[in-house]
Amino acid sequence: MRKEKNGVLSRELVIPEETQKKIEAAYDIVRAKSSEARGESAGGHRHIWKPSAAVVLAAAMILVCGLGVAAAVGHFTKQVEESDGTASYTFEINYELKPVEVTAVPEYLPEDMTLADGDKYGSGKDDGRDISIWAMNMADVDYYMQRMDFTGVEKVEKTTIQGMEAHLITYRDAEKYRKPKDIYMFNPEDGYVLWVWGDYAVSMEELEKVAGSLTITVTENPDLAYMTEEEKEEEAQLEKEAQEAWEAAVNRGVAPEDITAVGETLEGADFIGASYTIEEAAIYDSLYDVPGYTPDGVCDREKAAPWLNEDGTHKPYLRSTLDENGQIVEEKETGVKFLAVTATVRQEKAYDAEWDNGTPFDAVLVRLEKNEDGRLVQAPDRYAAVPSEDYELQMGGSCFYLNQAADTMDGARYFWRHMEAGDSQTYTMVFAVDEDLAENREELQNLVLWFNGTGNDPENPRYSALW
Amino acid sequence: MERDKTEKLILRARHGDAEAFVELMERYKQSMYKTAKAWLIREEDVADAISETILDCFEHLDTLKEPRYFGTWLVRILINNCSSIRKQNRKCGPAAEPGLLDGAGSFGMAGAVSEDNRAFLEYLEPLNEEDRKLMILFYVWGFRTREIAELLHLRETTVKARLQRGREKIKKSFFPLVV
Repeated sequence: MRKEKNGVLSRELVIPEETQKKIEAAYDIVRAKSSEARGESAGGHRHIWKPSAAVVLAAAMILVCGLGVAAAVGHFTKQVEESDGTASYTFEINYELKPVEVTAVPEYLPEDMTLADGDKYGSGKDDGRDISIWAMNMADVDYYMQRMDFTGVEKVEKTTIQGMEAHLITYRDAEKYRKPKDIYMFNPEDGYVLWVWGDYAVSMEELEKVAGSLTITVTENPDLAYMTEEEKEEEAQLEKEAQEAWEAAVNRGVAPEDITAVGETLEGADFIGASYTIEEAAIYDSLYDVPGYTPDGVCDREKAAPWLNEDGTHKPYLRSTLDENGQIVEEKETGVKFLAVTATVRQEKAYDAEWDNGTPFDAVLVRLEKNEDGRLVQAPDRYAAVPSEDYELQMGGSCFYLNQAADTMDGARYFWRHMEAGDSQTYTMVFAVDEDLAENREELQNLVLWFNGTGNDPENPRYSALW
Repeated sequence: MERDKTEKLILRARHGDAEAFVELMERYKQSMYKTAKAWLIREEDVADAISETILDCFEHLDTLKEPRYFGTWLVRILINNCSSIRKQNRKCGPAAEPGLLDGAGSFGMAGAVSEDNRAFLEYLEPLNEEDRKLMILFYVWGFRTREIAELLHLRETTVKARLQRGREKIKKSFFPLVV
């Protein structure tokens, strides 16, 4: 993970003596526990409270006070509307009942899956087998989920899991578009909804087994409360302002004259201390025609090999065209060419003391367009590979080839190198570019490089021209 | 390399090596201190939050299945402890919640606050509480915006925008004449 630099925040603070004493006291407890408890099983105990009495109370209140939450035995009711390919859920919350905390831990997981982070489980590989479990208390349902809409639905199968109503949602063209699967389990009596999400390679059968194995714990939390309407409005306003500020910052764009021209040098981020100069760029039909081509330069040969013909040309791939809402409007086979960019990186100064990640050589290929102020902003994505193609050579606009010797850095940072102050390297990166873009002069002119050594600040991007 | 060392310490700590656990905590002590300071202000609360977090981590270390996510796991525990202390303080009324710079002299730092500590607090002073938290998680812990969004149950775009807003506020506060 790349560290961001912020001088003041990165300075070491003096921890006051009394605080340090408390920390040391905690360490002493750890040492004592460790020596006395070695060999004992690590036990924890959960405080489990099943507030079934709440159901009785709620029912009594409805009958006595006529609360108008018709047939609301428990914390919520829901309405489900299904039509061709869509499913919509609307929740009506019974605010008379206090929300309770809920956790859900699976006792069963498919083979070789372990806890990844928090409520996510996976094999640690990019194999489409991740599973997430979100145990939503009523405050969560109230804030995040009063309405849920699903599109592209193949089927909503209704069943029972652990005595609760469960909806199993599958999606159309799931294999082609690598769609996930969802299971929702509803417990209005105790006041929670469980969402079990499985990525595309998890079968619904396995996901059901996971859902059926959940150990669900409900606990009182006197501090858990519904947000008031004022709080919700304030939160919504904050989010709106934040979104607008973000969009304004990102859409500000750059002036055309601020793009570094070919042959000119761009100073990278100060904490990395490198500079970049694009020497030249050219389009090739065959990867093997790129000057200085070496098979060792291909970052991931397993990913690249299926897409190369014997002569080094690129096989076509199935590409979706997206509308402004990200919906697919067309799919067609698309040819690909290679954009080779020769650049020079120079390490202008030694790394800052806390920077041990080396110098990034690579860049992101970006397509720009003019906004209404005549400034240049990143054009929206128009295309995406159909997921089942497993085509990743253009993922994120990254290059897939760099003609340098093997990485000298620790870890999987193929495009990073260790440089000493004064070092410089001239190298070639190769990007895969759709044929229709490569053959369109006007479109080609809109392509620039965004060197990762600039820090990639989306609010202040610094681009380098290719032509 | 650093990650390997951390993972080795976690493994040793899990096998009952208390000193490995202490070393692990020492590696994160500065980050924990800065985070707790941004959340809690009062030094005694900061001390309590960190010490409770240390004990919670030790007690539940076996629930961490993927050592490489230790950082997010640790900060999640710390944030929860900080929030609990804040809630308790709120019950005591506004006097229990001093301003950011007021808390510096309240506990074990009578008289001079170190220059770096003061600079740290002054730097964060222009920010509201939420923006302060994001700055810490981003710049001190090095989390990505997506990880921060998951930690704080926010949308990623909100995190990005608030970080940008935070930076702008700090810039304006320190350089009011810069347009």
